[in-house]
Amino acid sequence: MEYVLSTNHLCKHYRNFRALNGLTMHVPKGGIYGFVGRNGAGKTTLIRLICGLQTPTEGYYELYGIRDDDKNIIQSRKRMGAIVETPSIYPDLTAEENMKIQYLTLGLPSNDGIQELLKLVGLEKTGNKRVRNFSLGMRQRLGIAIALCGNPDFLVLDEPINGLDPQGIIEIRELILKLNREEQITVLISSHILEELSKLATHYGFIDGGRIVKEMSAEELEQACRKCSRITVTDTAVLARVLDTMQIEYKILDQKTADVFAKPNVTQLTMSLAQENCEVISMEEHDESLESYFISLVGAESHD
Amino acid sequence: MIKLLSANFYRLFRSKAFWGIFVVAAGLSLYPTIINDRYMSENGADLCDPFWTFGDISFMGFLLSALLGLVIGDEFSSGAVRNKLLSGIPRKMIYLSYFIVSFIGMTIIHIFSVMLPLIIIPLKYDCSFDDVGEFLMYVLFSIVPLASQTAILLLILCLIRKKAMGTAGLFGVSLLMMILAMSIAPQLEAAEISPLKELQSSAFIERILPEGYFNEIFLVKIYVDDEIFQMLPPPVTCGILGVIALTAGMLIFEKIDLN
Repeated sequence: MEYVLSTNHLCKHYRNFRALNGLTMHVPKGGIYGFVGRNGAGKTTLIRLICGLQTPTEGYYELYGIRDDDKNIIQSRKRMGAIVETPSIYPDLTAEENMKIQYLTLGLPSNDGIQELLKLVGLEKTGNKRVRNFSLGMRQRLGIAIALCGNPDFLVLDEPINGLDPQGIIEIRELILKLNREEQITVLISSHILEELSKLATHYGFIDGGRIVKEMSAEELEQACRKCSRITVTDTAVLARVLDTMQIEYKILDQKTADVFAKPNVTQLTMSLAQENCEVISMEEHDESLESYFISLVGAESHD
Repeated sequence: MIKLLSANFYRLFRSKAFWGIFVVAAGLSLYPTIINDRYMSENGADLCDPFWTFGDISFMGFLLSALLGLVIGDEFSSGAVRNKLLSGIPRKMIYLSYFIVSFIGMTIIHIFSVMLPLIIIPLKYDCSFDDVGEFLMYVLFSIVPLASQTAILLLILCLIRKKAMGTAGLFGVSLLMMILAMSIAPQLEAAEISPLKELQSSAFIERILPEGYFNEIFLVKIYVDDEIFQMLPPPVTCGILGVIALTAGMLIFEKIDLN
């Protein structure tokens, strides 16, 4: 698989605090990478490093195959756009003036694309309205438009839906999906709002205490969070035989517990098990949400 | 570099802070001869002395603090500096562009505010200036401490990296420099400076500090009206300090963690 960004044992220390502690992750090309972690887990620190705002204490990262200590990293960085924490915009200027500044900075020959980009993010009719009078959602969208100047093929968004109302969240989500599907832009999106990420991401990286605890695809996560019946029996070997006969999908968790991924005929199942001297101890609906899966990965206690 | 400067100048000329400082500086220059002319005349001042138009120079540190804090400080607070880094521009270039834009912006304000009364005075008092050539030399030399002070204040702003706190910090530093320079000025006014005495620490500090040099241009020239200093050494020492501050700022900005 081709990776836009990969990190290798990346560390960032601020005096005695280890914000990143040997983080290794891989962002595949063309995907939407959901970077999941609680507040203070190190999400923004990683984004600051890859944007060149800060330098790693140890380890390295590669952007389009170029290592961060290579002089050509500047060229790689030109291929990415980013919003770090808050959109980088001048509040006393209009949306168009903000865009013009970015166009001038990039040395783009004409301003023709500005209206097109503003239209893409739904801000083409803001006219002379100053950015300070924009809603939070509009500012986020303007931030994305600025990040898209120069046609980047990797977009990094740090908590883009924080503080947005439901309408704003939908707008940003649809915009990200549009950019990924229609413009083939790879997106790295960090958030602690897991349910929202699950509507977007094709890949996930779960971060805790400055390191990635699990990387997986959306399919793998869906599998892990699948709705099932959790059955506790006296012998799962017998249960497996019976479920095979009934052609029901299952997963043995231990000697007494298994997850069954369909709604079995309970009477039939119980009777079949009883015939083989296997007793059903308990049976419960098990629906692991993204949140509970995340908690199971990182633990419920906070890490200071 | 040119594209970055274009972007920064575009931003500067759309900043209300820039135009606000422009108006304040012009007001300070117009104050002695145009606004407060009656009081000045009663006290025997020659209103047709062009050196009175240097009214903004005593407050240059504060004007520059406001410009740097509100315009360049906003680059850090708004996060605009991040867009520049992501555009693939090396940090040294970004820092240098901030210096150039602030310095040129302040020079434009200074030149305009000095020249404005120079146009108005002859029309209002029906007089002509005798020593315009010398005056223009002073205008030219006043740009050196301006550059030096821009470099020093930008270095401090780079360490603070916040708009409001940065502006306040720069005002504080400017005030300190002014107090220090003002405390040294009387010694210089009284001194008959010989080459040996020029090396005295107080004279050295006076001339290395942009505020001190501003004092020499304004206070010493106006009130003492004596050629107590050679025109060349102060801009050189002041300029050296500016170069040191600018180099230090670029090196620090290269290594510093940004948010």
